[in-house]
Amino acid sequence: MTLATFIFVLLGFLLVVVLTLVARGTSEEAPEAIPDAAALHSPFSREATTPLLSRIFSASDLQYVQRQNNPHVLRLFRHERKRVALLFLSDLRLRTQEIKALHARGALTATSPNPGAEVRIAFGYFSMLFFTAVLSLLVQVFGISAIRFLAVPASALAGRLSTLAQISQSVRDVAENSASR
Amino acid sequence: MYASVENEFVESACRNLQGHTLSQVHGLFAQLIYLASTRDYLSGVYHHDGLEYEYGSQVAGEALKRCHTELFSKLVALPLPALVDELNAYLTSSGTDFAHSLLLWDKLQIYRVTPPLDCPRVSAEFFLSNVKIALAILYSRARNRRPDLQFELPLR
Repeated sequence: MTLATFIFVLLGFLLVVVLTLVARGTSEEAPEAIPDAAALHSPFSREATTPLLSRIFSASDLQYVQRQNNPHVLRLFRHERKRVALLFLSDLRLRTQEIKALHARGALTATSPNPGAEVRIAFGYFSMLFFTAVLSLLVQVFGISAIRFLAVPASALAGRLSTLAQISQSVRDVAENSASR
Repeated sequence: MYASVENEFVESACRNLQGHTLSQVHGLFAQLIYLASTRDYLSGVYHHDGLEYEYGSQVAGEALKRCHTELFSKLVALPLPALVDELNAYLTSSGTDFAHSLLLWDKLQIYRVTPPLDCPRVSAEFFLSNVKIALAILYSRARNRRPDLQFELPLR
């Protein structure tokens, strides 16, 4: 094994470890006070999440807090925005896993599998997990300075999740229809 | 057909609620607290005697829930400065000692019961987080005006 290969493998391993730690950290931080079982199953469309995301990642709120000239308030603001941004990303990840579990259950009983759709779902699932982990890592490392630039990619991820849910739903619908015939 | 008729009743009940009750409650925050307080803590079902008398408990409950959700969405969408103003207006409206109200709100976290049950977790947490920040801002302003304030706001 050459030195370059060793460094490449080591970097890959470190990335996996860091992403795992980030994922664990964010799910542990998620508060349990808000009952959201129904909300978890609600559609997660890009249109619905964009206004909320632009609020979470708003730069004007930060400027307003900076004008207050109070380091304690600024620290609290930074902490809270980071926490909510990570919560949003962990929610995306949770919903992705939920779609995958739902899809896997349906695939077990499917009589006419659609390999093309399965590949798209698998790719969508892994890319969602990867990108949410990368964004979580950026938020963890760079904090609020990164948050300001993440509204667009986070919104794109929400859209990607919505597409994934639609593909999975259409595959399950086809399976159910063929099973009922 | 039945659903659309029921929806019309719910919309009518919403308009009734906004025209008669909510218009008497000044400020978005006060309205939110009012609507959240009409929800039973154990069952999560909304109650309003006048509305139930006129529309029946199911339609009244649905109307209260809808108004609560709409108002909450409006507050979630508010920029932070506007939310601070709303909270300030609410806390000063009762005439009780402002510093005491601030301390009470921080200590008891009364605002945690305000999100509707079926709102997404991120929206609820974002709103609660904003209220916490707004409380800190109001406290820092109160401290600037009255350096003699004896308490520290133990914001978590």
